[in-house]
Amino acid sequence: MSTANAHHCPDCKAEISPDLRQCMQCGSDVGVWPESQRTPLILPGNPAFSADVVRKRTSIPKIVGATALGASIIGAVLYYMPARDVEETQAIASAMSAESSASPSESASVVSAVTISAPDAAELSADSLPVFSYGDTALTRSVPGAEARVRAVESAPVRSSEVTPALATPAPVGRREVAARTPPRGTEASLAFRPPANGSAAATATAGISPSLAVTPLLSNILSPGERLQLRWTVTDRRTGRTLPGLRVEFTSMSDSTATVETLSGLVVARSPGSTGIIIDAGSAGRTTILLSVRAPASSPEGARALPSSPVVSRSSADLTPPAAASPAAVAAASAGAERSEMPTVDEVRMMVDRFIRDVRRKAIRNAELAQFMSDGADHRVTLVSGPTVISTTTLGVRVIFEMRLTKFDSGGRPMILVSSTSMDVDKRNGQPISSAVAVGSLRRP
Amino acid sequence: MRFDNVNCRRLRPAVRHAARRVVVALCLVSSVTHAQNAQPYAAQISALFTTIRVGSENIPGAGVELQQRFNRLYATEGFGALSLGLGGQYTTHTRRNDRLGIAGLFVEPRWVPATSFVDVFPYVSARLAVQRLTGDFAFVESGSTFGAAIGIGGGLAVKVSRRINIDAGAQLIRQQFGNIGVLPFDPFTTYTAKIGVSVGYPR
Repeated sequence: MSTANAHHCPDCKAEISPDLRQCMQCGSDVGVWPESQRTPLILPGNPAFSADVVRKRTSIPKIVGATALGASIIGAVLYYMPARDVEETQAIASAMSAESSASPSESASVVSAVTISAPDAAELSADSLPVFSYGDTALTRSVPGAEARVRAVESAPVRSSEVTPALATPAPVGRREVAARTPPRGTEASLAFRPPANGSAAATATAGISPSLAVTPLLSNILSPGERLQLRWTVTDRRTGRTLPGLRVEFTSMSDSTATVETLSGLVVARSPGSTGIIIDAGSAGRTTILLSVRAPASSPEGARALPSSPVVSRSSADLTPPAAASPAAVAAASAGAERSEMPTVDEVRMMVDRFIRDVRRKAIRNAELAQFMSDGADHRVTLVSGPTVISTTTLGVRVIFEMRLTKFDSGGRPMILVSSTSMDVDKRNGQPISSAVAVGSLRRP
Repeated sequence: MRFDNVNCRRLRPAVRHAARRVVVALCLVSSVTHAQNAQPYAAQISALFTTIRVGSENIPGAGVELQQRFNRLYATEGFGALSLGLGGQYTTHTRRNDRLGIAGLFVEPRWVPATSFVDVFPYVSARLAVQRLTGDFAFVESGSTFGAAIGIGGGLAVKVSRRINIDAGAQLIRQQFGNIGVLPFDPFTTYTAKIGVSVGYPR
């Protein structure tokens, strides 16, 4: 027993030493409670079970302290960590909402976004290629050289970046950057002072709401004549992160001869070779401009030859007909009227598919389901399961289908395996293979 | 279970504090999405509540538990995931001016079955612990003794973010200790409940 646990005389309450048998103050015999009989108060029936003789000790604060320590640590973690993750989730949610706001012509069975083309480095030069990067990831990949810039475009982050004036950061590529930031004066003026079209127009922000426009980054900004591109966007409240569906967004093309855009739907149609900007105006939520480059296929300099099938924003999985067992080279040889040199070889098709798989692995493909799959869990793996197999051919290229497998561990530590069938058009421009019209099928269990 | 009035008054703010955190966390869970973690390893800290039986009395106590979990012990799509946790715990139990402290090292296997839930993970767990009971008494000599505990129970892990889960669980524990001086501690069965946060790593 510690010396601090001094006892008290049952008669005069004076503090006594445990060794004494007689109270030094009143003389009472305290030896009636020999040491062996002083059973702890923790046991019932203790004769000394009286608050009068129990000295208050500091054990209770220790209990509270231990509990508070655990609670405070938990609280600190809860306060700090979720805040960052909420931001990430909101970004993903924004991307997903942008995906879900796609053209109504999309098939419900396909959640895919479509990339119009993935140009090769050889086709791109610093003078001819307007490169845009949305978000900080692209900016940090400042690798010199055209291919590096292409990779920066292709690997733009999944999350949509806010295109507020402070964050609108197109990658500096000479005069293209100026063009991106400075639309024609007339257009600028008309946009700046355009009155609201209706009561819930874009320029009217609800009190207490701080809207922000976010445009889903493009995988590539190069189109071919006749191609269509659905721009996707979302307007969110900066403070709460919630989507504001009522705000109106208008689209304007800076050169209708190069590409037109539907004012409200954001559907871009490439018309003729050249460069143009698409101004996206969300009123008080912000305004941004994206540049597009329309290029004719190399094999048809005049742009007279239409693409085999108009690339669309997404394609129904019904398009993914059972594959025919034919190699790209064999198909190329059999294609009447097609120049063999313009048909992609097996290796080139495989290279484009591998590049796509690599982009999925790097989370550089903007697809709602893929983004959601990649947004949580750990140890994500993306592998090619089958293919690529040619399912159709055109005069310029082939359409291939392949299946990829995505695996991860979910938050419960359980493995999760999903597969997706994906189709992709591969053709060659200037002797370089290019992929386009990538349609990612819905993720499903194998 | 009987609480001393003084204890109750002092514990209430802490309980309210912890409850508020839990409510906030659950709100976040419901709004953001989505314990054992996706990552190969996880560190977990929990508030621990348990009782110890002395004589005919159940003495409640609270404390803290730290554990390191190895999440990839065995995992398949059909089976779910089996993980293992190693850790330490400490609880303190007070009745007036007598205090008992239980410190222990434990092994806690856990099975998360394959379910369709993606944000909530029920689990079954067991625990094997080696414990040291330290008594600080007013009227008998203080001392300590070793003991062991074995238990089984379950819980629920809720995903908060990609790396963070909230973990709440309870177990039925059978404990046995030796004597402290003249004080015998008979084997007893009690419960232990915990709520905590686990953080998976590496990213």
